[in-house]
Amino acid sequence: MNPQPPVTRMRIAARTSSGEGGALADFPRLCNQLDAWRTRLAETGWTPWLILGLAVFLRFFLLGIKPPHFDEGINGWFVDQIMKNGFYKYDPTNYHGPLHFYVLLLSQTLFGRNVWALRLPVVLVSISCVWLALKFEPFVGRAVSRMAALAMAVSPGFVFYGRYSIHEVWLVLFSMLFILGLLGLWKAGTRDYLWCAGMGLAGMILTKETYIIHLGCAALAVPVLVASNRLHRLPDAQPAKQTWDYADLVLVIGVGAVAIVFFYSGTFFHWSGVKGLYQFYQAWFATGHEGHGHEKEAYNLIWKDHSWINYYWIALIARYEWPVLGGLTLCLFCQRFKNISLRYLAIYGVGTLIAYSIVNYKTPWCIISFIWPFLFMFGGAMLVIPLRYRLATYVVSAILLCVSLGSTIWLNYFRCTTDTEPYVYVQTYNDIYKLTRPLLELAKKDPQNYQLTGNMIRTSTYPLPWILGDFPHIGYYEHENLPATPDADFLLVQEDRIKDVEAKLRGTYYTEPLRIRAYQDTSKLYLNAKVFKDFFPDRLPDFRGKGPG
Amino acid sequence: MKWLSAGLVFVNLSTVCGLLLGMAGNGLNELSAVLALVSGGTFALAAYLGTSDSVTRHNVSNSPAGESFISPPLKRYGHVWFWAMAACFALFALRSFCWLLYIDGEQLKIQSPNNLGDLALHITYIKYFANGVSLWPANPIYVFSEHLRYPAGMDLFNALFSFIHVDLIRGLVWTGLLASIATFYAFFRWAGMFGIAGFLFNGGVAGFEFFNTLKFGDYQGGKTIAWKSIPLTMFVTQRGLLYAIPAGLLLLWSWRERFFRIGERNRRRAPLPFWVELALYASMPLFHFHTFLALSIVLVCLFSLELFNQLKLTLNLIRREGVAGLRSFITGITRWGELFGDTRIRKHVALLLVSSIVPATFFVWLVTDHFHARSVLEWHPGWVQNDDDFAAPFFQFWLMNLA
Repeated sequence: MNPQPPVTRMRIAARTSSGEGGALADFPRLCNQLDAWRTRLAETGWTPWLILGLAVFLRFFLLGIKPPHFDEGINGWFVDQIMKNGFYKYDPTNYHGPLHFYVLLLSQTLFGRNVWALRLPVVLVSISCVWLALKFEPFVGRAVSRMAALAMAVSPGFVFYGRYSIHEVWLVLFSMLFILGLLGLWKAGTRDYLWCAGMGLAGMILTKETYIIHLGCAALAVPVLVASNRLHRLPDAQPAKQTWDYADLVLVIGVGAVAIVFFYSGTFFHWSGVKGLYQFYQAWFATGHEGHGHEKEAYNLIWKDHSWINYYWIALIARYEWPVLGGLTLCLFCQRFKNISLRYLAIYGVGTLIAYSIVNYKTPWCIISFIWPFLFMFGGAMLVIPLRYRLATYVVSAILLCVSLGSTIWLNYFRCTTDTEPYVYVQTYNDIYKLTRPLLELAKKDPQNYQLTGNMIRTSTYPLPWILGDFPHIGYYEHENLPATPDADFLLVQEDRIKDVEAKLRGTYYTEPLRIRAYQDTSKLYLNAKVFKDFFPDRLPDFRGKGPG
Repeated sequence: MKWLSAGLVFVNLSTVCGLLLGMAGNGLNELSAVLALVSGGTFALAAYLGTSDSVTRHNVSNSPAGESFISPPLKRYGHVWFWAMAACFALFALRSFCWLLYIDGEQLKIQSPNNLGDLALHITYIKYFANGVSLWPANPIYVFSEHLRYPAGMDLFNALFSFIHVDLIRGLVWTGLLASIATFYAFFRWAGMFGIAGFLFNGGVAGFEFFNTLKFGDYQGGKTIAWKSIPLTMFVTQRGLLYAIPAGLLLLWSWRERFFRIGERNRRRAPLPFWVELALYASMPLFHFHTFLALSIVLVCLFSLELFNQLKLTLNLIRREGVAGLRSFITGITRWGELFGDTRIRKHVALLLVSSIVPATFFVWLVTDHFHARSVLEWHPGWVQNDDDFAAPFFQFWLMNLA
């Protein structure tokens, strides 16, 4: 008998299965996903989410409350240039790494040219830093990492500068990632941490030239830690067996190198930018040494002209960052930490603080780049303070955190443009709204008003060139330059040039004093009476030009 | 695939609802645009819940403990090509759509020279729809036209957002970038990394000129090369493809899963619900007519495939049992199941085609000026090898335009 052909019409019964609907072969259903999230939440608890929620709220709430900072205006202007040229032209003598500008470009392209879009990426990065602090848990312990994350979430400095579109927040993220990678390699030795270290380093290089300080301090901290270990043995000093191999290393280096070359070369359109990777040393060492107007000599100790003993950072910490001050104080007892990660963080943190104190160029936002390790010291207080003081430790920690939160609220929502606050540095005053609000309102009402003409007859007008970037007929005249016809729909004139300009004006204007920011004279704003009359219903124009002759 | 299905259904049914509301109300307005978008969103949610994706999850519980186990590098970094493709696609999408249209001083600028004419036309259509013109309108740039002869579905979709005060440039950028993500994922699921690379790197041999000059440039921009990069010259410029490529791939994926991959016991859980397939296929003429034709050809082929199998079975029967066997087969109804027992492809395809006749005909009628646009299809052997700009001897032409 020949073999029979297979019977196609007979339905073959499915084999019995314990999984309803074939559990493994199905895409996870919504209810399964919810179950997975519920389980995960039960494992981690609500605390990390509360900390992150607080960080999100404090950073997003009233994000546009303060006008764009001078540096934000410049960053925004660079983004506009990328849009026009197609790439960022890195100039090692002038400005910082390219990554921030490309991210801002994407944000501005997606959300428009406004201060929210400009600040959004940095806000997200700042929140990521809090999340990253929680990721130190395997090395410093759950309580310590959560305390550090909470302290970071409510820190006046991390919140204030986390709401500014500047490079420092990126540097915090990448330096944290780098250090997390180093600790992970020492304690766990897995390739995930190799990626953390590699990408952290690449990110730092892509962000700001001061990465060299962090890299140097991270390296120097190792022999100091070895010496510290000789003096006082750590129980967990032995490195873990490394489970990554050369293939991992090659790939990490390859990806990092490609990212660095890609961004520094202006996405392959400006190859000479890659040279900036080594050319920046000279320029930035000079800047760091000379200070360029940002020296804080009033804080020099003992010898007023020897700035390497400068307590500017300590003063700032004492003013705003009490948990950091607590952590810094605990660094004195670094030898009592039985945890190698905490001891390393203490040494690294003090090292970077010293390095930043030596550098003459001191702008307050740099503080967040190096104070974050002290937050872990603050969190580690209960590890070094004797058990009998446990309750007192909790109470003091809670008080410090509350003070920090109060200070954050006061600084960020009530005094964010008050220049007597040391953190508020070169901040644009709300005065600029006298010009920008009516102007932008007119443009919103009728886009033809983007064609209004303006003359900015003064030096250093940032952030106005970015805010008014959509107005193509604004001229910027610095030093002795003057437009051929000074009359325009609006003018902003430097104090010492008012006389010259007024002698040439023919139009009728409402005038207002306007000060862009501190360390600058008050300008005089002229708004053309015909164009802006609706904004001044009960007022007559203040100035009628007679023109020459 | 659930997200892809939901996203495409949102675009599809927002546009279709917008069209119907616009036709009923003699033009769109803010209320009808909001209604259309809300309807699209509701359908998208239904599509998300109804789509079933048979991605096999790996059973990790049986794998060796992660920390101490080191797999070989090739296995460990098998997905490196995926990320390389993703990076290349991201570069293409970001460069193409972030600079799609931008303001430089007093000028509106368009990055791609291929897009100079196309984008201007699309913006005209978007503004035209957003001005509340009665649907389906006359051609805004051709005075002698009775009706707009263009599958302007994507422009109608963007016009809906203009009604809710979404900035035009932002709308174009978001649409482009989201469509790029959808296209990337759809290619990945349809043909893996090879599919993505095939789409992205199909520029042809002209691009090898780079190794001679070591300069980034458009080596196909000249009028001597007929073959252009599909992403740069079609995906970015013909806005209908932003929707049609991922939607077409989603349908192909669904048919492949439904007819060839899903086991007997899982047939009740089809990858895409029938109404999603119907909506995507039948309304395709509104977005991209050629994709509709291509999908129709695929459906006809699928239909024929079963016929061919039955013909083969009939021949086998005759060969095995002779004419007597054939006679007994014809007279014995109980044996018909041997031939006609498994006709699920034909049934499904027939149902889809029959259900699509009315809506698809309506959309074709709409975009072809009531079937007056005869130039949609034309037999053109030899492609452009005899055109003035590209004319070349046969072998030279096809070698130069090899991709």
